[in-house]
Amino acid sequence: MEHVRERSQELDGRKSLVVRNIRNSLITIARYVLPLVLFFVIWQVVSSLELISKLFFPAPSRILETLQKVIQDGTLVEHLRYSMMRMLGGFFIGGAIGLLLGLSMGWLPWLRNLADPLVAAFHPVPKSSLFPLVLIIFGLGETSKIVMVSIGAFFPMLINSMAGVRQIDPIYFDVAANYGASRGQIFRRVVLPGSLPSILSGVRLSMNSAIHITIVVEMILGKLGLGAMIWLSWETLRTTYLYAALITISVIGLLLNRTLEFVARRLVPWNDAQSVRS
Amino acid sequence: MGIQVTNLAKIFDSNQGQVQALAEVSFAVTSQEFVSIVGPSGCGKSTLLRILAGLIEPSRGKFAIDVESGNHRPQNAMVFQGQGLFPWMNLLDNVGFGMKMRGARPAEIKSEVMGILSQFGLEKFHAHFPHELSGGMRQRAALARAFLADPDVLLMDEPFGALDAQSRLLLQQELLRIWQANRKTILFVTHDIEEAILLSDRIIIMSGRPGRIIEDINIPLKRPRNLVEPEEHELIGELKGKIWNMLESEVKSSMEESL
Ligand SMILES: Nc1ncnc2c1ncn2[C@@H]1O[C@H](COP(=O)(O)OP(=O)(O)OP(=O)(O)O)[C@@H](O)[C@H]1O
Ligand SMILES: [Mg+2]
Repeated sequence: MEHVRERSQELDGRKSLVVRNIRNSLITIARYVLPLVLFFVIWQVVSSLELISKLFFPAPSRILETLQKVIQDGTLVEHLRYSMMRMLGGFFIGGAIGLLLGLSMGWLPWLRNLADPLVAAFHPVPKSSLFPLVLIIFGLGETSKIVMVSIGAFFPMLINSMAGVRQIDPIYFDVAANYGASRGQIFRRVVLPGSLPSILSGVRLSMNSAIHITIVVEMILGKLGLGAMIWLSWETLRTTYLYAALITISVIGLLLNRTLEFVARRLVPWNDAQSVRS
Repeated sequence: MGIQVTNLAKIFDSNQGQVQALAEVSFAVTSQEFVSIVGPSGCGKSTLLRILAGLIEPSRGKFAIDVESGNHRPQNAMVFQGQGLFPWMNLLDNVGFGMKMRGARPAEIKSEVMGILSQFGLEKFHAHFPHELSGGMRQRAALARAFLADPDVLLMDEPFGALDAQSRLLLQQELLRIWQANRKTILFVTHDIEEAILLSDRIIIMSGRPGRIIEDINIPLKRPRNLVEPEEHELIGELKGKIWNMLESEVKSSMEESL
């Protein structure tokens, strides 16, 4: 009997732990969702009372209707598909090149001396201003858009991975050399993990830049993609479509950022992911 | 396995101009000897060890470390000032780093590392990262890493500098015990005169920057040594006074210089 009671108490304890965990995550979600809900409710009320222009600020209920419609007829998915392809394609191409070049520049002083003036000259140029030039070189097709997004993703990755290598305490290079590490081993065991926290914040900046440039180039050219959807809605003054596109972009950005944060915390257990989160 | 240093000098080129870290330094350490180096901060002690470890080139002079013929062990291993454990590796990978670099198999590395970790009372922490350990544990891990490499010469740069008195005493005893069982040539940098006296066969005293050798004294204490209640109080006190007298003005002037 005694024994059984103990067991059931233990189960109770475990159950209450689960309950507490669920309650905690509910509270977290509520903290995020409540202000948004409040915002939309106020908007709905103000809009229904016609206190603000229905054309500029259509009621959230109407935006929802539009969202539902574009989801059902497949147009949103089609726009989203094009945007994601450009976003991720450019992110991976530009990010990978930026990462390799950044790590190499951080590690090899001669390469840094060679490339630093070039980076310093090109980095401050707003990336979207390069679009016409890119169009001349790569034509009006898909390539130009992906090249633009790659350029946007390239610089934050380059700067962050280079800074990541440079802030590694020199003592770790000494330790590796003292224990007979080869250049390749130093790269894998010191350069790469030592700069990882900074690389990961570079990944996030890079991703955000890729999203930004994707929308900009889509607004300028073409009929497909979330940027094009925004621009088209403005040209036809269908503001509910405009808001539907904005909401989609916001959700995509949030999801991508959260995923990267999660990955970062997994990859850098020694860093408490502090520098990555900020 | 001895060390022979001849007229070694080091001048650093930095943005603020040249810094002479080490003036001409010459000394010899015989095989299996425990030699300490004391001197004011910035006098080039770490620089000297880094030259001997092959990490930087001297500006002038030369050195030789005799190696036992035909062995595959590393010539030297350094215990770095501030430990130098990789924050991104757990203890197992940190301590097994040298073996891994030499291409040992993972199973072999694991069994050897677990062996040395248990000698240092750390086997339960093999999966921990450095930031999850106390300062004393990190220091022990740094020692374990160097001992596992089983080098001919151990270069130790203020290995116990950052520890509380009790941990330090424990690790000093540990070091002497292991050294007694497996004799190596040790060059041991410290700013603690008493530590130098209690551990070493000889103490090299250096001047302020640029570091020169101002004295090289024998420590005629019997071994094995009792660090907690040393028998030869008087001798120890005498040596302490003598060394402090030589160092005092050097330390003072190097402090004034850095102000
Ligand atoms: N890489 C470097 N470039 C330029 N100057 C250096 C470099 N390394 C050391 N120095 C200078 O050389 C001098 C000696 O440095 P070192 O680290 O050898 O001193 P130390 O005796 O170990 O001091 P401490 O007891 O504080 O550890 C210092 O003035 C230091 O600033
Ligand atoms: Mg030093």
